[in-house]
Amino acid sequence: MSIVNLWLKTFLDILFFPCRSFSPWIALIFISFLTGLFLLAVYKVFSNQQKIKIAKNRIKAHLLELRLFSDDLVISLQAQGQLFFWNLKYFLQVLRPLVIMVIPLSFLLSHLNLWFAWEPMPPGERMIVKIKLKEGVNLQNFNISLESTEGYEVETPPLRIEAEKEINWRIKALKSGKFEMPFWFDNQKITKEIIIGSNSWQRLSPVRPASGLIRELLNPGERPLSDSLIEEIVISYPSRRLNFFGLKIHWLIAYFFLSIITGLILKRPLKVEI
Amino acid sequence: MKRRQFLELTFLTSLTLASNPPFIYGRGKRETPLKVLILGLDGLDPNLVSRFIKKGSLPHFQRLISQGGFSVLGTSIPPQSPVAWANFITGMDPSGHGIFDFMHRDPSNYLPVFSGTLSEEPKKKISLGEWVLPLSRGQIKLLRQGKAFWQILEEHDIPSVISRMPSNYPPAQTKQRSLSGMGTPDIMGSYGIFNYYTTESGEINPDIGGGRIHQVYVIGHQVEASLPGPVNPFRRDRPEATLDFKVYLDPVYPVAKIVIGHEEFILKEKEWSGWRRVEFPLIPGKSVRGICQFYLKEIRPHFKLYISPVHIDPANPVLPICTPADYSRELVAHLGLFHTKGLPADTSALDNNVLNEAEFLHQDNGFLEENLAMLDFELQRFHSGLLFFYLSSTDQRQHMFWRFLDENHPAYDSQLARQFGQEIENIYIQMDQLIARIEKYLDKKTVLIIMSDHGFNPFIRGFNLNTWLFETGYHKLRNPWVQDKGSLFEYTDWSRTKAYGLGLNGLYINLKGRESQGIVNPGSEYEHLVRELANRLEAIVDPLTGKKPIYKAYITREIYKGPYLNQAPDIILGFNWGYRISWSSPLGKFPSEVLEFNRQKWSGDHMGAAELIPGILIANRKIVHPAPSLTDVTATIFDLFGLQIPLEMKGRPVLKIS
Repeated sequence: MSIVNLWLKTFLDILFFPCRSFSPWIALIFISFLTGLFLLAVYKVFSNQQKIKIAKNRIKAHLLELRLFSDDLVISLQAQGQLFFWNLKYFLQVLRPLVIMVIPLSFLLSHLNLWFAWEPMPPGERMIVKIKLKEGVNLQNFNISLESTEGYEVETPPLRIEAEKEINWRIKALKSGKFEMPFWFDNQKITKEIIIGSNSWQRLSPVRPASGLIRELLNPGERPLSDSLIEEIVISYPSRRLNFFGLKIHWLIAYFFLSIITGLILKRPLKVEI
Repeated sequence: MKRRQFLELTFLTSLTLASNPPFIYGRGKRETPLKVLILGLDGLDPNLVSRFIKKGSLPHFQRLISQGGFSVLGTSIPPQSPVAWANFITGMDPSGHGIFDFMHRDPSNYLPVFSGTLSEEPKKKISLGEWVLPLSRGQIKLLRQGKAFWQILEEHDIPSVISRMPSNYPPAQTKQRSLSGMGTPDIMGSYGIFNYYTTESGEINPDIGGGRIHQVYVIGHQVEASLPGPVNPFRRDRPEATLDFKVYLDPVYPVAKIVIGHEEFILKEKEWSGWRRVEFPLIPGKSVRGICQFYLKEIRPHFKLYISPVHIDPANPVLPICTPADYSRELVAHLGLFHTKGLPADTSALDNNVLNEAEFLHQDNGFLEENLAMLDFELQRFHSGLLFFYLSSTDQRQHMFWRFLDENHPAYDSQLARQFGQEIENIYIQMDQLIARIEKYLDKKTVLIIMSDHGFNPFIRGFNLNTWLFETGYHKLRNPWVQDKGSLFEYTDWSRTKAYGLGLNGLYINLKGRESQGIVNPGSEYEHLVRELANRLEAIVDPLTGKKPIYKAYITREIYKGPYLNQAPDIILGFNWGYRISWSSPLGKFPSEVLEFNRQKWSGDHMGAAELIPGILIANRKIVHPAPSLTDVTATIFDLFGLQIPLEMKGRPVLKIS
């Protein structure tokens, strides 16, 4: 899992490097285009194009049949039965490429989320840093401290919430840049990446999880924690919304919309039957 | 036009509108030879300004006055802010704009109603079981009559920005930028209700004005409570919408995390949260958003949390607070969240000891800073026309801290006076520093006017008008032995009552044909009664001080002649120095004493006779009028822009344009 994450992280870092000084829209349009192209390719390679074409044609034909013989109950019912049958066949045909797409797309989405879902906290603003502990750990005996650095100041003592198995701190962002947050417990040091800045667009990792397949898939920004007591370290970055003529939209909506548009535009030149 | 050209043009137009919203405002665009900047400092008192100038505390005021002019400014009758600012807005007296008091009365049921705003429910609704769905929109109407001066400027294409003008909620229709001020409610539709959560049972008091105190319990280092919101109009039983929240306390350290809706934040003991968004669910898919501040007053031994009144969120206003509709959003984009409730200072929380003096000042200084940042923002783009900016802190501080100016005030506290005795002077000094702050924006063509709506005086003794009317036989109760019980004239026998007091200065005759159960005949009986009451009120002597509590009882038909005179009280009480209407009388109550001491922290006021508490006028031009009044300032605006003063306005220009 870590290797896949590392590879994808590096790939996107390189891909988005030229876009970093522009609006996130540029990168989103770019990656949506590539995604649309990639998905078309996957679709073409892993589907039986001929059978899809036949299924679609039969669906069209039975729709026409329904319209032409709408006054004949028997033919209409037969046409509806055929429509159901060919729709099912069409669905089975597209299922294979869709299943194959889901795997790379899941990795890609969780990585794109790091780029588009949050924005860094500007200097002067405050945020919460949480350590979530695993079940069975006694919070009162768990001595952990978080140090201030030149990038941020820890403003509160640790706040221990037994019901949530959490330890929280409030920090104040001081200086733009990428910093390491050092946590100390039992003479051990663990770290979490933090990025501070205003009006900047970059990859943010809000969660550093413990190792585990799903956890690493959903939080691919940093290497997983090796310590067995901590479930995750979380920074509450503010959510990012993309500005579309004054309308604030979630990046996923824009991403899927643009990818689908790309797919629809390119399906004909690339001769893909979808 | 070809299709391609059309698409390009549409795209470019959309882009221009999206990137530059003011383009679509269509407000005044004329380049004016003079710019007029007006600072409305509520309650700035000419006597105190003179005193502090003599002391050397206000050097910038002094310099401005030496370059231009200074005068007392005749205030309205009565000198209440909504009335006075409405005089200025319209250039007319109350009989012309229809605002005579903070509160008017509904003659059909003798109950108080807001004078400036009328909220109407949707007329068409459909009921589905427990749910009610509106089929039309409700309405909020501005009851102030007459044109606002900026509406007339707009007709002449002169740009203006009107920020936080009192008596302007909902804001008068205009394409000019305006933000409503005093009169703008909180999200509950009231003048402001705070919430206070405490584990100390001794603090629980259900009978406080302007706030609610909730008993909470700490269980497992956790407090669970709910924040009341607006009435849910989608439910037949109209319950209050509520928002549950949790507070997690550290077992050892004085620190807590508050989780409410989508917000979570950590506060140390004695820390303020700044503005936080709260969202009250009404029906699935429909909610009301507001903003409020949290103050973690204490964690141990008792848990105490204060939540400010929930203001309308300026980024997503649920009620009309500005023109054009996206002006408040534009301000948020540049300045961050800001208060929207008309008078933001939480005087009720201070009066009820929920906040102490230092906490109150901390909060109000924050509101003042928000205003000053907004003023800076508007000044940076003030190139033509008029900019009006209103500040309420001068008024609110004098209301709450006047008790420290006078050792004989019943609410004087020597220990607190040592700490906070300078606060009124301090706010005057802050206003002096404001003059220095805005000087960089002033050029030779800028006329600067600093004005207040009224002055101030101490509130030492309260006059129970309704008790006096009862004792003198003008007001009858069905059960006189329950005189001091009930409110809103609960025990009044209207069939035998000739007069009643309502509002902060108003006395009404129970007039036949006007009041629903009126008994006094119009004509000579009415005239005689009004005269008799005015004479008797002016003759009252306070046995404790030997002073007359009523300096002047104005008979409204003698001082006003405008079209809305029929809505006026029949007599307006002009109180003497140190006196005011009591706390109970405006609520239709009958306490046992006619005169009583005011022991509240709300210790300064301005319900006196207009002659005793004028406002102030300071300008960077010579003042040529010997005794200017509020309506003269309105006339001056038109004069400065070379416009004819509308016939219905009463004022004359007061500044010399050189």
